Amino acid sequence: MIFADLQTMGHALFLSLVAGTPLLMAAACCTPMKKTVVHFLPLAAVPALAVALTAPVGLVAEIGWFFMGGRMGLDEIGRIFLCLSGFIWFLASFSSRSMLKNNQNQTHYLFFFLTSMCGNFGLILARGLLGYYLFFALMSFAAYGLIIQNGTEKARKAGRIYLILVMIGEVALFTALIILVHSTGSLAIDDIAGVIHQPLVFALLFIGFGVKIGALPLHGWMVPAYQAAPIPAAAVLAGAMVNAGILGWLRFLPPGLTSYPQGGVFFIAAGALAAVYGVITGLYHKQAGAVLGCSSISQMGLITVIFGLGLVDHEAGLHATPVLILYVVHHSLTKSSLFFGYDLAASRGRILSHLQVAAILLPALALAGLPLTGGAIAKSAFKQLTVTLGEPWYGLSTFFLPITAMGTTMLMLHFICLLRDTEKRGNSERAGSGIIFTVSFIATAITLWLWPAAGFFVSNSLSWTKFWQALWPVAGGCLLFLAWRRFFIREKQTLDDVKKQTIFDIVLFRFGNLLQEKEWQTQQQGRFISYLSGFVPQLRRSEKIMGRWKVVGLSYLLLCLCMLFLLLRL
Amino acid sequence: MNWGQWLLVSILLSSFIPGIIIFGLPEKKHRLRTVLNICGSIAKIALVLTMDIGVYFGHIFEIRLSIVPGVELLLNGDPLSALFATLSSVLWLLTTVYAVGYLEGSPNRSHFFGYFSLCVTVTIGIALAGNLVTFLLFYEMLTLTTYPLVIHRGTEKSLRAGRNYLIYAIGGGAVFLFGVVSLQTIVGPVDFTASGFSSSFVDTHATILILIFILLIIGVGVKAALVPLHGWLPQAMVAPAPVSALLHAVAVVKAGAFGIIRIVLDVYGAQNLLFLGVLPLLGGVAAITILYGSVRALQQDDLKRRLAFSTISQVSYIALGMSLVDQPLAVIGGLVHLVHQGLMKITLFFCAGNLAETLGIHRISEMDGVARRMPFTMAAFTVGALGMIGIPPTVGFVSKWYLGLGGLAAGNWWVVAVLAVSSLLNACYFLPILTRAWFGKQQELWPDEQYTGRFETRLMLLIPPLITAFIVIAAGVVANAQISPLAWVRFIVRGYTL
Repeated sequence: MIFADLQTMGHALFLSLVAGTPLLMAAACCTPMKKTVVHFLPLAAVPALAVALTAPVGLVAEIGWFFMGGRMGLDEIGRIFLCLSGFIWFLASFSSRSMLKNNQNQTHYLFFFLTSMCGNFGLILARGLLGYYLFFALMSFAAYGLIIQNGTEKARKAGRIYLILVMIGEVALFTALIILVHSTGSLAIDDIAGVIHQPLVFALLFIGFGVKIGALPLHGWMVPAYQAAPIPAAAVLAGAMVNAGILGWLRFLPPGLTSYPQGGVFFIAAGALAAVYGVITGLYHKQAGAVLGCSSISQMGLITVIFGLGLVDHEAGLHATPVLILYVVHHSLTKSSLFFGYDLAASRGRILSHLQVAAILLPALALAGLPLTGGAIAKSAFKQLTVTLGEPWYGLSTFFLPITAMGTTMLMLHFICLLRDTEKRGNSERAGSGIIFTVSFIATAITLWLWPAAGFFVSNSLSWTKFWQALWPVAGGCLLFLAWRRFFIREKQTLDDVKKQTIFDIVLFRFGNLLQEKEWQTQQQGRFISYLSGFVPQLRRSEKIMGRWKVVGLSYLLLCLCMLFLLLRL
Repeated sequence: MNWGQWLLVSILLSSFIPGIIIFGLPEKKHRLRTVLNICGSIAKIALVLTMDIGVYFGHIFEIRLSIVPGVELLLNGDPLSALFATLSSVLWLLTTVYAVGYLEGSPNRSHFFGYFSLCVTVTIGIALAGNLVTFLLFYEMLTLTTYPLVIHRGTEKSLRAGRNYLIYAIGGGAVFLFGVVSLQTIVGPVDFTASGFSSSFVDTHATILILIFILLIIGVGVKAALVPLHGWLPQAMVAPAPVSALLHAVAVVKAGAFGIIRIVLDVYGAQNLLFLGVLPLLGGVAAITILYGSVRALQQDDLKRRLAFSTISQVSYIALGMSLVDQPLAVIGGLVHLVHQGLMKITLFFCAGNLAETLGIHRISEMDGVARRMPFTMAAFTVGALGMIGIPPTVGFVSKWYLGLGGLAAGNWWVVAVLAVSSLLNACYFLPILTRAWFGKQQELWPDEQYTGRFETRLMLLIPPLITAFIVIAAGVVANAQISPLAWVRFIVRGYTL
């Protein structure tokens, strides 16, 4: 009995360490121990990796007193996400450490880095709806601190858009959760499975998690944020935190257990639109971080399409989930190694050697699905999925996938060109950025090949037809890119100025400006606001009237008469 | 008298006696006054906790004093009064510490602390009142003891604010008196019981009972700052910060909200109110107040004024919960917000006071980069503000969650919509303050920098907000534990058959 108790306590402690270590370190960095924390920063992600690699699946720990019932556990999906996120955070903390060692005056960064890490790990282990929401909120708000770290005007604008969208997402998620819990009567994630969702809940969950993955039209924060954040922070934003949105969908709308064809079609449409939108806008950006941001919008669009396919019916859901996870793993590793490559270019501050360019080119083209890379495996898995589902979804792989692959190739070549003339960031050369990039490069290159769960898709991608199918869009993209550079690049069209992006961004900026008190005072207000401010003096007047003795006396008298009348009638 | 009765009396006396002595103390006896204050409040907490334990184990605490036949004073310790008494006494200790630090060196301190103690005595009286007459008595006394605190600074502006407060409060008190008297003539002496008065009256006197309900709610609604009876509250923010904290979190607004709770749960009772059909009215007023307060808060540049409008909005969460009285979850949300709002708002006012007292900052537009100068104060402020928005794991989320669930259980989708919009509006007026303070760049010198010591400000000003901010997070994190405000509120709700 005691042994069993001890064992449960041990499990709880083991799992708590995953999110607890970064949190404790975040607390410690508010004390004079800051320098020690910087020194041991990579240790924060070690418990996560340890749990992901050693803990048995199905490990569950219950902490009853914690936040309306805390339940943590590790399932198969959670293990993959934890491993992936742990790895990327681990690398990013090395990178952050060398950044912080050059510039000691960055307590904010350290604190927010560690708290968002805590949030990211915590939500993966959460087995309760509220636990997921708690850690998701923690991560989202802490990431704001990472985005505006540089303190420039641009960073603050990026932060403001981000904060507004996060807030919208939070409220949508809160509402969705409350409806879900009301209809299931349970706080456990496992009990959601099989619930027939109302369209409203679907829409709210799309918004709530869509903000995180930059789904259209909630993508406005992504490009400016990746551009403004310090590169290690951008790497975790793009590689690890973005997956929290996907995981949210997997947890709250589990494919294979829920089916909602209309919702699925909506997800597919939104995803396909984002996939195309991302590459088109990306070509007009002049900053490497922004181009990676656009590529994330596009790639997340593809993942949204896969998720949407999984919602079409139960059968489809079972097939889609492994493909989805494969794609997420591929994208996270690739995107983070691109960011670490960018870090390499930025911290060296000189033109990269040919070898280095070639090394960065590999993950870049893997994103487009170059044969023999993880990208090709992921894309062939996607194709396999559409084949399994049959018409009309098969059309996606013959028409839509090659187009996005071509677009991504162009985008990535554009990125490489920009890398060559990236301005130097930071004060001095950063130690270790080469090693960090090398590690992430190796991980990107080999993970999908060695991963047992991907075995079927790996062998599937190796036939000559598949090889050709993967190759021609990349080759076509290269040619198109050369043509594009030759004929269009001279035009001085740039979307770097975030203000000119899209209609959505413009709307959001307007809304963002309204939040600044200055704008309230300088009368440069929208119609709604001027209406309100015209209304306010009247309200104020009515408040004053209420406060006059005469009024009080009169109403008093009136009241007396009423009471008298009523009492007489009794 | 048995020990339980002695306990009730000594709970009241533990602040009354120090208050009376302090009135007589000369201005210079700073140390003696502080000792009296602190000892009194610690003693009060100990006594109230004793009562809590007794209440939990079912001991009955009751004192009856008959004044004239049919009118008796009744002090009663039930779970609900224990909730309010504990909240008030704990926050009183912190506010006293804060006030001692805040008023250091200012004139008329004996006068101030005397009324301060009386005010808390009366608030505890409201908490312990066991029938409407007793409640009324303490409720009127509260107006009289807080008025001198509001006008403490003696400036033109504070006198005007005080006058305004008096007009509203006395008006409200009179309406309340009418309500009480007429209710008494119809249903007889009204003790606070779990089921309210007998339902036989509802069949015969439906219309007048509805009118009386409206009168009673208007009477307590003035102090609870329901729109359109809220006008005094934003003006009263000219009072010193500890007084604002007291008004907003410990005594006055809370007394109003507590009155709403008593009237709904213990005077009328859920069944009677459902039959009379007046609850949608209360819900509507609460919803309007929530949204109106938030919209008005958006437009304030004065920090304390913004906080005042935020109080107007937040306190109506309690009324919203009461308007769904047949839903246990909503009642839990409303009751627990009594505690949660107090904790969050007192933190925010302490911090606003620190900014004003240390750096002379009164307006939000002066707050750029202030967190670099006062990181701990702003950290506490941040916790309070995030709580107001309802971000987990703060206590604000817990209240919002229960209210939303209760609203859905009643089939009222608009409750969730109001909560969602209110969260967004709260974010609109709190997040810009936070981003300014933490990430803004200091534009010019602080308006009036007073303190340059080892810490960011005097420790007596710094520690109370840190403690309350800690509780705001801790009470949320351990919400499900055996000992938490939520646990106690669940214990209360178990006593009602909803």
